[in-house]
Amino acid sequence: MSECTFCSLIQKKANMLFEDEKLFAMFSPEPCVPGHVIVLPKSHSPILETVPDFVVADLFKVANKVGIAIFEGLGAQGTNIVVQNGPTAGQKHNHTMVHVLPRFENDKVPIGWTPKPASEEELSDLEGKIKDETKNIGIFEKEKEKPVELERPKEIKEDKRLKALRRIP
Amino acid sequence: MDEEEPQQCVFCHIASGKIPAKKVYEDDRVTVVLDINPATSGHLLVIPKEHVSVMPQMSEDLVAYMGMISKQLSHALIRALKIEGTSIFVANGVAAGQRAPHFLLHIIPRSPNDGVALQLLPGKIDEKTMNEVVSKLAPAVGKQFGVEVKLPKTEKPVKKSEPEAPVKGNLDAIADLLAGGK
Repeated sequence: MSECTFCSLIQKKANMLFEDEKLFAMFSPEPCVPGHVIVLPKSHSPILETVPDFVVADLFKVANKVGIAIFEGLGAQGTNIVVQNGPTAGQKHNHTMVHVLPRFENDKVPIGWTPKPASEEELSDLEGKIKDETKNIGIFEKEKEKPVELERPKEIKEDKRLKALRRIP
Repeated sequence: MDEEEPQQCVFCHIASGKIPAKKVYEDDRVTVVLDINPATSGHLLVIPKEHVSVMPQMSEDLVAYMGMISKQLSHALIRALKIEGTSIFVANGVAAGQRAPHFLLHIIPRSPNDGVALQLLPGKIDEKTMNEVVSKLAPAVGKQFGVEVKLPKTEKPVKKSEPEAPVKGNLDAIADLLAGGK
């Protein structure tokens, strides 16, 4: 996976704001607006589905904290948090990331859509289809506990029982 | 603040089932419904049952949960509608495009040329503005995580200008603005 631009940026700690064992937060190298931050899993994951649930949890926690910092540090009036999941959703890189953007009144950032009313029939049809696929969700993958190195009892030297035992012929 | 009382909030009623909606998933923390005015067909709204206006008001636990359930809902949409991608979108504040006084997370099925503007293309930003933002944001992020953030290299050190706005007041004002709208 040495071909991934973002894996190498992470390795170089480029534009770094925060990192821990699993995650990396940086100023976007392709900022849409000033203060555009991206949060990425350190381990190479091309799409959201390949990121373990417990890492997604952390991605959102870090993205939210960055958002709070944007309100606090930049005095922003809003934030957007965006995941582009798949090239049709605008994903441009082979590494999953969560975008956090500061927003200000009338900043003219081209983000949004035109809502179109949906018919009752269409909605009912979709409801059935989607429900079939959500039956088994809501159970999350937990992080495996790392094997714990049990502390072995140090050699017992000065135990009275040892001395006593030695005395037995 | 009366406007913020859950009794008055349409989305609290949708989440609790008092107002009917096309529900595709529910558990003890969220209700997920089809948006009746979708960006694209199959647009989902993930509504937390607890009344919050914006994500910064949520517990860390709920934020984490919103992320995990969104991943799984996004996958469910991809399978159900045989689409190739989704956008997961949150707007905190009217300035960011938030329209409801209750926090909503959007999951939008995507297809080529569907007219949804979430490309986040690089904007024209002059270096001075960028340096100024970096020098303000880096310490604020550091404060959130209790670490010191070294500034990425900038040409000249930038002077600190305005005092920082207290986040609590700022968030309250944002929540108030939302409560006034529909």
